Amino acid sequence: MKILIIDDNQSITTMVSKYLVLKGNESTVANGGKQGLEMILQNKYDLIIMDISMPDFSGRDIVDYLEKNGILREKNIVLFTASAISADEIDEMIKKGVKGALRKPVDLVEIDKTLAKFQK
Amino acid sequence: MKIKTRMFIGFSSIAVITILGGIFTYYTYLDVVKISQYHTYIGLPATNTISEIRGKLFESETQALEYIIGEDNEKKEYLQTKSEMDLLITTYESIIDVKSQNKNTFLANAEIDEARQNNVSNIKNSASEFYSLIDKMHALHELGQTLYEIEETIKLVEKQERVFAESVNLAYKMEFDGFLEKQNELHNINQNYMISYTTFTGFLIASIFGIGFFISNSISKPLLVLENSIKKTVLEGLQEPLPLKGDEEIKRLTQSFNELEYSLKKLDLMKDKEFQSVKNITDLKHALDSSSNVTITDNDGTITYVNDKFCKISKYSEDELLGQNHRLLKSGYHTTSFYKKMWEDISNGFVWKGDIKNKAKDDSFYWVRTTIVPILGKNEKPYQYIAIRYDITQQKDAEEKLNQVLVQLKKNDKLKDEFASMVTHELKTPLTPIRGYCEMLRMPNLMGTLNNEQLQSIKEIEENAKRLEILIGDVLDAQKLDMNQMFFKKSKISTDEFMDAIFKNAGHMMKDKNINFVNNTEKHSIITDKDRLTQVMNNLISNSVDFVPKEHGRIEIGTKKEGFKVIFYVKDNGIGIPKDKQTELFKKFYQVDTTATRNHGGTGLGLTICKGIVEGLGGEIGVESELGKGTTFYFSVLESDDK
Repeated sequence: MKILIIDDNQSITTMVSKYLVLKGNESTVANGGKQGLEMILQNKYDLIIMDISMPDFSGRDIVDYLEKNGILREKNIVLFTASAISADEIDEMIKKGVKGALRKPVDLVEIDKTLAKFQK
Repeated sequence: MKIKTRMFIGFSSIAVITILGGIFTYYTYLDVVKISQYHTYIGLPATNTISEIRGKLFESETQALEYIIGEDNEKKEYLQTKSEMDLLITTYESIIDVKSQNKNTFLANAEIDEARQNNVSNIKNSASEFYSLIDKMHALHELGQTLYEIEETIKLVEKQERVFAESVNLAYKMEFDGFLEKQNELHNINQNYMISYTTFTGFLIASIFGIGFFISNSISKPLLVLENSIKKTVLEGLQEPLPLKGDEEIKRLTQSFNELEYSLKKLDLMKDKEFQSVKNITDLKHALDSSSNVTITDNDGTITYVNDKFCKISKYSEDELLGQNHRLLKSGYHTTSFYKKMWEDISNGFVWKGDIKNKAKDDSFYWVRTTIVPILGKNEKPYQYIAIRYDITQQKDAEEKLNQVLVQLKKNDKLKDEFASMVTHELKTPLTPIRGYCEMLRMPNLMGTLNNEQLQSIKEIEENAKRLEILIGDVLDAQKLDMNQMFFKKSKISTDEFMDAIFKNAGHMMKDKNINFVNNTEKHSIITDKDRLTQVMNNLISNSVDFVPKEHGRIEIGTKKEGFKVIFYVKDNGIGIPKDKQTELFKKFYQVDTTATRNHGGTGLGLTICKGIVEGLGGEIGVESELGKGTTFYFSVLESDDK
């Protein structure tokens, strides 16, 4: 699977990316919102694991942009978030077209489940 | 009785007495008149009688002459007379005879008899004389009657005339005596009349005086009483009501006077009340003046009255303020619309209340809590405004300071909130790679195989990371509850499904720890925040896990219905909690047994958070426990309306 990981925390992206690669996937990392959006727009990914709270350009901004352009539902975006974001907000985003959410810190088992969901 | 009646009776009595007196006097007067008439009569009738007798004598004389002239007739008459005389004498003699026949009877009174005899003889003599005279006359007549004899006869007649005159004189004298007697009688009558008259007049006067006195007394006495009472009323104040006595009018007058007194009394009371009212008003004004500053302004806002306190706060003198417009004190703090609204309210007759910042004479500012009362005139429109103010400058200053503090506090709160978010994010973020790598290392055939010791170490790291995660979560929840920032997302759930998930989730751990784990849930429908309720259940279950015995540990979870509530419980056969500690359990950072806690690794926030969540969801939480036997934690959740 071709997976994009967007998170400003490099330690997290490295770890998740490593796991995904070890599991036999193709993993790309973006360590900022803007970079992540550019990559979403330029490439096609089977799954995008995206942090919400990022400086300058957050996950929310990405969601808003994609929604405005009517392509949010095309993208398999799964939120990757700490509890700073409320359950309501997550529900709202899922309604808009986000595919799911992973809570930090995450059990790798949960990542496996998510991967399985999007396996072709 | 009415005075009218009394007067009527009085004056009627006088009239009756006067009429009676008049009648009496009239009759007495008639007597007097009679006597006066008699008095007039005395001289005349005597004279008349004499002349009458004289006339009669003259008549006799003429008759005698006529007799002499009318011889034949006279002769006849004489003869007749003589025969009559003879008969008379015969009769007399026969009487004498009878008398002599009754001589024996008469002998008893010799003297009387003698006198009688004398009388008889006298009569006899007179008769014989008469006879002789007759005889003489007869003889004269017989003898052809001489003038001499006639003259003699005339003389005799004249003599008789004299005798008669004497008789007349005597009669006259007698008449005079009668006159004297009558006069005397008249005098007496007169005297009696005078006496009666005087008596009557006296009686009349006395009656008039008496009646007058009676009437005046009956009128004036009660009037005097009234007058005295009035004087007393004037001098000493109001008196007791007078008894109703006397005539109708007096009674009515007394009644009226009593009513007047009563009215006066009422008036007095009213006066007292009025005085009290005035005093109250004065007192009130004094109190008002002592407590607040007061101004009165007219319709144009011109100040017409200020009290001392107002002068003091505004630092103007009374003279400087009176006649000035109230604008003088404007501080410029309030907007034009503020004053406009105020003016609108009061000019429409509404009381206005508010806080105003004013400027004193020395340009310092002061705050006053103001009540402006419009005073309405006859046309229902205000003609002046009374403003009552309290100095709240200090209060306002304090308020301002407090506001500043509040603003700062709010800022702090926001900071705290931001800090919490930061903590959550920043503290949890490093845990993600830690746990991730641990898990990866633990997985077989992913990053190579670890020996047992390495695997145990990795597991230890992972456990602690998880614990740290829980701790961070607890601290954050506690802070949210503290700040009332915990929001719930409620939905309708079924208790059996909810508890099944929890049972399954904890099942592995129970198996690991060899605890007999039981689920006794009934099916109910509730509306709640599923995630938060899960948090509570897990918290209570993990508490129990730490306190059940190593062998034969038992934990039972379940629900019971109680009215409109569903009771959730977690029951264990652990060491139990002493009674005195049970109420303390839900307090922040409270730990019953520090060693146990240390083993448990909690923050002491778990039950506090549970309590906060349960109560936030509208339920109650509690505990029942017996030392050595076990503990049951329970909480209630409201049942859903539709099932």
